[in-house]
Amino acid sequence: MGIFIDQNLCNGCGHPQSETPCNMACPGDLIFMQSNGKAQICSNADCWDCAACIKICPQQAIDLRLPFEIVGKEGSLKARAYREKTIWTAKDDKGNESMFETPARNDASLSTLINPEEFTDAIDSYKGVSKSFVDLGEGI
Amino acid sequence: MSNQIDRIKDIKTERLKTDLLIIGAGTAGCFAAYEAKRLNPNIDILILEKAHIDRSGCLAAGINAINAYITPGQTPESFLDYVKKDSCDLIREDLVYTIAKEVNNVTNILEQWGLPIPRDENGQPFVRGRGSIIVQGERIKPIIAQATKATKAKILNRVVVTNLIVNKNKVCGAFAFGVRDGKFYIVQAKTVLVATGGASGIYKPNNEGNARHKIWYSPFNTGAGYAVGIRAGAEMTTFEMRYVSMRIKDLMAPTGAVAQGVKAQQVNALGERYLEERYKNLGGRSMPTPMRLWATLEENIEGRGPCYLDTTHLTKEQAERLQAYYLHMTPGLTLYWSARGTRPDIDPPEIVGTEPYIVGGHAQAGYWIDINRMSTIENLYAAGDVAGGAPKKYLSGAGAEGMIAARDILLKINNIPEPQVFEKDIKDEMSRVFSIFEKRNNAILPDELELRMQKVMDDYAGGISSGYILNEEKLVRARKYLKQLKEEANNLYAHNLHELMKCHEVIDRLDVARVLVEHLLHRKETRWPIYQTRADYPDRDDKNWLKFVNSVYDQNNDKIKMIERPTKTLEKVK
Repeated sequence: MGIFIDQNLCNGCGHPQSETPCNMACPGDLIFMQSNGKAQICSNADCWDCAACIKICPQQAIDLRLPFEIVGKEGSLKARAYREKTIWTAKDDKGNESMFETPARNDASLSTLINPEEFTDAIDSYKGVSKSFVDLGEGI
Repeated sequence: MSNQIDRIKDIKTERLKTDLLIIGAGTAGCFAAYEAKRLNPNIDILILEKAHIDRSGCLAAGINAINAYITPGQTPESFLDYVKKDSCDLIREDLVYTIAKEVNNVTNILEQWGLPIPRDENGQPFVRGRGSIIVQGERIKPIIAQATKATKAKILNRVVVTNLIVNKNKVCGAFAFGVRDGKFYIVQAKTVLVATGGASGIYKPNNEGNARHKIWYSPFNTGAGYAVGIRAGAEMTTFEMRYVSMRIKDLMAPTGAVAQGVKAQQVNALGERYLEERYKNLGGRSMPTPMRLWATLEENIEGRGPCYLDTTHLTKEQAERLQAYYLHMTPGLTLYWSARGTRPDIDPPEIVGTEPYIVGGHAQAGYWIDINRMSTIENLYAAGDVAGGAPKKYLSGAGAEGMIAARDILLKINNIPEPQVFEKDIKDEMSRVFSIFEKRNNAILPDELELRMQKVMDDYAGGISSGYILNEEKLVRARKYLKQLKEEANNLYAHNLHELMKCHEVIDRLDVARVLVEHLLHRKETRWPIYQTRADYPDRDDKNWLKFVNSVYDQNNDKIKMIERPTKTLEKVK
């Protein structure tokens, strides 16, 4: 496996009027739109696990799954890209979750560069309760 | 036959004209566009990108360190010395030095664009290792893309370049097709910068089946940049210095965050720090990069495997931070730990060697270029992973080379006459590109040919299964089988545009593999153990081989001509 697209959650993002975010993001040209208007991956064996489609999906319909032959267990990784940060949720086979967050842009660029129209990598601004960024100082 | 002609008649063509054509919107290509537009906002730039600029290539998932950076106490000269020693004394000093002078500038620009770089109380980045600093680059590719879009360079996404247009050894543009719109593109350009990235998928990978793309280097970097240059007759250098890296088993994730970031030592199954305890004579922990992998393979051969990066000294909190750190680059590894309900402080990562890659950013396979990054074809430039002679340039070095090339292009652009494109060449290339849609009896699919090529390379050209070892007899077999595969490639068949792209990717990889085998045959010594271990010439031979092995492909006669070029010290170049 590479990614799993939940066919109940995918709403097609306005296809065919506009290119869907997942279809745009995939570096391997692996995501296509089915005749029912929902996204699907054409070859999971070709997926590189980059998570570009996962982070940008506004429906949170996609997660990362590792091949059974590698990990022997079913787990999943979800992520959502906001302008400021990405919020990640990893799940083990028993459903136990661990949450992570990673900063996306530095503060300086957020105050000077932002023209909301130009952001194609994030759905919107982070509106949740802000945790401090994962500190990556000395010794990680 | 009529079927084919009809298909080609149906193809829409689009003609474009530009001053500077950039092939590939990665770090090298985007920094070239940025620098060219900064120096002259009126220059017309067209960037062709196979995927989408926001998430294409090596940086699709992100990056968690900048590995070519002049850290406090270091200088461009000391960087050059380090790269030279680590590359067994054979490098292009002029190229490495000019990169070294530029890498901090590239890093600063990235930070201005928005890349988060953690800094200490004195405003210094956190040094992860010699020449390496920590960054939080999950979003680096969109950040670079945003800055590139702001330059107003024209960007065409999902366009696959298939060949360069070259007349009388001058580049005149490139041919391409749209993987979404199905159009055939004819781009006339005064100058062309090749910046596609290197080649993965030449050798059989570590994992098979559904896991076959759990590889370190981007599986979508398929050697197109090399292949278009090879077919155009550009001189290539040092393909024989393959890159084989020590990586975290199964996900093939980079090890720097563990080895340098949390100072994890390499240990064997007995718990010995084997680099220090068993290979002190080769330099212990500071031995050249390929030797650290060689020592790891030796430990396995002698029955002391598996080997690990020992992370058991970490606290639970540190281990969780390390997991989060990998989300910036290899999110699959974070899941690998989480899915099994474990952490690096409990389960230290196992280390293995990858399949060999052909990359100029880590090793030095690529175009033979001058100090301004121009190739042996006039007005054709190369930067980043496709540019040869300058190993260990990584992301910041790729950006540096893009900027260096852009400066030279701007100096010359006004004196370059209108490039010519001949109708016959257009017709020939259109037929080559699209005849793959023609139904045939003995059709083969791109995946089939790729598997066969990877098996040949693995068996006969020093893949994982043969312990990376090379010898003349096996390489001669590889040469023979690759020639057959090149003929087989005429039977490739695609059902749709995505498969058409995959067909051209395997054609490109075959051309790269053939040149690679000739380079491996030519160098009759062992210069870079693992990267290039000749069992029949096991010793390093500075007397005869401290020189570059180059090649030029002659398309008309299907011959690869080998050329030897001397090394030059920096003083001589200056």
